[in-house]
Amino acid sequence: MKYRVEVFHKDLVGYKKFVAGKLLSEGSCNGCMTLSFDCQPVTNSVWFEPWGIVPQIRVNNFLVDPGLAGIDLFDHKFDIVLDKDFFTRYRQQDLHYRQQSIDVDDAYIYDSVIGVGNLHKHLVDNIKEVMQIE
Amino acid sequence: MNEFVFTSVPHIETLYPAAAFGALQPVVKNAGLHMTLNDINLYLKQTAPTEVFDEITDWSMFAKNTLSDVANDWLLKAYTDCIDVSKSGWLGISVFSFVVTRATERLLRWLKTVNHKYTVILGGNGCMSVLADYDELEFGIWCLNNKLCDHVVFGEGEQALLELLSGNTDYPGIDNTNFKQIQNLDQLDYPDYSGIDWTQYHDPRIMITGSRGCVRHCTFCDIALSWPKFSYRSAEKLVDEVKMMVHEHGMTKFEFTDSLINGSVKNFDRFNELLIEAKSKDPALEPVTYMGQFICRSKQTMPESTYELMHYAGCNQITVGIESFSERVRYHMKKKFSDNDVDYHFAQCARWAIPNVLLMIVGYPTETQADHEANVRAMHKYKLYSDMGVIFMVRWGFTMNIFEGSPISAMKQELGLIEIDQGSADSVFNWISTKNPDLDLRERIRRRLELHTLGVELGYAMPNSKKELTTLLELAHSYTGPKLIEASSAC
Repeated sequence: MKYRVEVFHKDLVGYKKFVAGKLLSEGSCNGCMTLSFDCQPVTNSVWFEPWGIVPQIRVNNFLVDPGLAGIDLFDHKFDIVLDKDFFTRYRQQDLHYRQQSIDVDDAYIYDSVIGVGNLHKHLVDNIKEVMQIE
Repeated sequence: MNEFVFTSVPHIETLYPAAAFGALQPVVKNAGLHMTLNDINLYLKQTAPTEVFDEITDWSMFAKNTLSDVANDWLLKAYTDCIDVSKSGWLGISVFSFVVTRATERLLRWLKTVNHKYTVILGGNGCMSVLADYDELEFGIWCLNNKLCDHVVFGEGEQALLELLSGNTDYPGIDNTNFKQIQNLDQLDYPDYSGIDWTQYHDPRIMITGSRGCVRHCTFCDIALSWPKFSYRSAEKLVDEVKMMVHEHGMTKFEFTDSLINGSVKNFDRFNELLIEAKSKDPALEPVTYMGQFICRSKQTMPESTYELMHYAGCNQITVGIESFSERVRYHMKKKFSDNDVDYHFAQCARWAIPNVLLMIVGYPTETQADHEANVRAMHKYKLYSDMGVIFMVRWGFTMNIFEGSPISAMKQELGLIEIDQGSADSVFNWISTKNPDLDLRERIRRRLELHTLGVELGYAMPNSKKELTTLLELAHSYTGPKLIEASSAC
């Protein structure tokens, strides 16, 4: 499996691609570049020019939030781990921050605002029983 | 008589103040009056126990027909505490939609029992709602007929209310349903939210109106009753209003009241372009975000550039009525978008990080088992979009309900629709179709439960599940379908 990483910013003119600290490619671009990475548990680094810009990053056509994607963003590069659990981690981080955003540990509010993973089995079973649903 | 008291009753959103308050305050001020907000709905949310507020909500939404004594007492306490009957002036009750009618009726009946000096006015979309509870009349007309209020403003309020407050009761839409739709929304004053205590709301935001009406005529939707024609404000005016609200209230979170923000793609693009430009010039505008309702369109009518502009302008959530993942069902609904369009829409939202709240309808009258299976397949197909937050949440709702006034209520013969317990409020949920006889309330609830269970298994965000399932349980308890069918068979 490979990951397709797009990096874009209106001022972006150049890049270097590192995998596990090893330079694999470099080149110039005009605002956007697309790089391919193998799925493996190593740190990939993308250096960009000019320094100081904040590029946006897509992974497999998803524009990602750097925080949720576990991206370490520096003024001249970003680091990203693209292993088989990348999307799973992204999801977990997303739910973690959704929970933090409501700032309360309350089952009712969790259900009314987030609502992930709540089967409410007793209610489902109760409805099925009343309506004689198999 | 220079006071105008504006009030809201259950059930409307309590996260932020009602848009109608901001829209009508300039009108009231132009009439030389002072406006205050007495939010009965918010008062109940803040003071009543959660289970009581939920019970009142269910009752308001016609998912429950009676109120317990405890809930009834809370409702009356809220009326007593919020409405100062020793004062005089105008009392404007916002009937936002049909889900406000029951609490409004209770309030009007309570007002009849106390000695007050208010001139009571109703206004809002719910005044046009035709419900079994109200003799199949428009709610506003029913209230007038029963002498429960002094006046009803049908249709948009901005011009008619000013006429009424100035003593002209002959203006179209005052106490009659022959209202005149405002053609030029740009002529309206900007909303005025002064006097709002923003700290009372959990998720305050400025409501902003970009358009009224809709470019579609979906069979289940009654929006055309209030706004027969689609009209929209210029992008320039909208961005000007955003700037004003940011600088006056320090609010950077905006939500459109529109039925759809992309009714005119050209104007929507222009709005986004202007907002991006304004952000680049004024740092105070940089954190501005907006959300709103949106329709799924084809690539031809909405290119990638529209999504790109939305991203850079700060669109951080859209609510989309996909309704069904069956193209056949959507075709009957007149949604006018294909499965390919849905794929394109999600792909673009992924590319530009635009989260979607999906509104769904389970058990549309033409929905067959095969259509239901299309929903099931789509849940698997779009799981990654859910995992990545592009499908931010899915709302499956309470199963298909049929209200008088919506286009589908005029298709009863075509669809063979028969309401069970006709004339009772439950009949909006409890109906059968002789053209699709397998789809009774029991089957609709079965499908709804299957989608809920699958959604949980696949990790979809489905907020309010407990509340919705509780309401479905109420509906299950009142299920009378088989009795009627048996009775019909016996005949």
